[in-house]
Amino acid sequence: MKIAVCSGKGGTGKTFVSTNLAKVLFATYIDSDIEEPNGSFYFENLREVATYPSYKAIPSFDLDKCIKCRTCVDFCHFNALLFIKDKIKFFPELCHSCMGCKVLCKTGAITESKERVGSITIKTNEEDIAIVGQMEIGQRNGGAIVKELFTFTNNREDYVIDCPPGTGCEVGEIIQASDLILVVTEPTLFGLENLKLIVSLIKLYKKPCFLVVNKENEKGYKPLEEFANAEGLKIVTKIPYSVKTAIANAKGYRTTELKPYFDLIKKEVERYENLVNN
Amino acid sequence: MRTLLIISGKGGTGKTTISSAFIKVNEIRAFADCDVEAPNLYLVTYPSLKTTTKEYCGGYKATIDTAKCIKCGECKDNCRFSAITNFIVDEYKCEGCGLCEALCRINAIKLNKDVSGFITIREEGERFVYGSLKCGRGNSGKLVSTVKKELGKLTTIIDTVVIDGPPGLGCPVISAFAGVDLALIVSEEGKSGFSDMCRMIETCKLNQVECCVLLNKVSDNKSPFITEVKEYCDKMKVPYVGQLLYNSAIVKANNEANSIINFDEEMKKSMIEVFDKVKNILYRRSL
Repeated sequence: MKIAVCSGKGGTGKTFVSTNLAKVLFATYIDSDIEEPNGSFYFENLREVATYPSYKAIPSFDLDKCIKCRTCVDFCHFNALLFIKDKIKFFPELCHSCMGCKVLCKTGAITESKERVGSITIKTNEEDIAIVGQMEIGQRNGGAIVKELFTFTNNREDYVIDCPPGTGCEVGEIIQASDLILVVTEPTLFGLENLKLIVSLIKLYKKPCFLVVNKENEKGYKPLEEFANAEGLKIVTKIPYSVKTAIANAKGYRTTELKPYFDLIKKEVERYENLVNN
Repeated sequence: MRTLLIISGKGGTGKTTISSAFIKVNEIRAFADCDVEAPNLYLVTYPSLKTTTKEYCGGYKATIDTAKCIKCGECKDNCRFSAITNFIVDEYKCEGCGLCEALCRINAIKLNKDVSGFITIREEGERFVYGSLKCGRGNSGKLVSTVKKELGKLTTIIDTVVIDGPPGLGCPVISAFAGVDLALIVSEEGKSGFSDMCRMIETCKLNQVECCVLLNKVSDNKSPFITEVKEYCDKMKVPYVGQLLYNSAIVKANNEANSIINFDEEMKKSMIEVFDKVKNILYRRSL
């Protein structure tokens, strides 16, 4: 089963929850926060097993065959192609890899080529496996890497997928490709505001989801409870904020003290798995 | 006019809290929230101002006229986004490239402008613009550019403009860089915060944007992380403007839609100290 861990708001504890959950579930950890992958910090003594470059498709031009008909330039909706001084100029950072230019070119002057946008690294220690996607600095869009991460999964094993923040198309694609969604939120006005956004995204894809409240304080945050109740969202557990946890987390230690909270999440995941299997 | 962009790489380091405090302390009269996938600045800044909201079209979506369609499959076979199944376009997968429209021999496919988000403008003495992307939509970088263009339509002379940036270092951040004089990187104590700060500094250098670093949520002023960050900043020739201690009152202030500067005098003092350094760099005064 593929469990996606997302939040809307950044910094609520997606990586903290994902890495600890992967541990209690004996699941493979996938870091899909390709712009800032930090999950590997939370596993001890990881070593790299293999690295695969990740590419996006781009067109390549044979200017001898080009008859300057401008079909490709006029077609490109992303303004990635321009005619400058009678020559095609290509801006790879704007290209969405639709390859329409190649398909529409009448003279075969355009062929498909590829550009490296990042990499996927498999890491392991004796116990854990982490699959980490990373976008190269300066790239704009790592969607291709996120899609490719899923080619490393199968339908038999369990995966915990650490999502990027936000509610955009990449998070949407991960949600769509996952079986169960776990939303990590925090008892704050900002946390709730972005929780509402991510819940509406999850609803679009009609995926089952439940909540984990992280950094819970003594007083709690009533509007969050009210929202969860109104939406029929189950809060599986509330992980309390403690300075000790925060410091341990900052240093990259996984905390054993908090294991009971993750066991609760594990129980809920298993309950759901049984429900689906029967 | 000088433009300050507040970014972090990692999410949740305190971009919005720092932005709102900077805006209040320095009485900034023009500001924007470019975190279009999770805009929060509006919750803590002048919630009473009059607002106008406009639709934002970031691109196109294809639709197939099923009555006309002869099911030749040409569109589906050429779609790189797997957006077409059973001759229906999935609006969340379609990127609006228009190849299906161009290939359809019987003109059964049309590209329509897609409302992919909203732009809200608050104006009443101050000008505040923010964008909100519809859930699951792409093209957030383009919305960031549009928000900034909208903020630029100023009617009065403004000396400082503040932009609360998006997390990450991809498309929306690079769009937010345009026309910015200084990027304030808000990092936080910890391995993740440090790693993301390093990636952010590199991104700034690559895009030739001047930057400085503020370390937020520090456990105490003797934390070894401070030295580590300072040393890295020195090596990269990036000014380090200071650190702010972790303060649980920030959550309380934010939950009441207020700013920390109205809650904690000590915090306000340290913030002003850091902000003055940022302003000195922004205005190129000698430190």
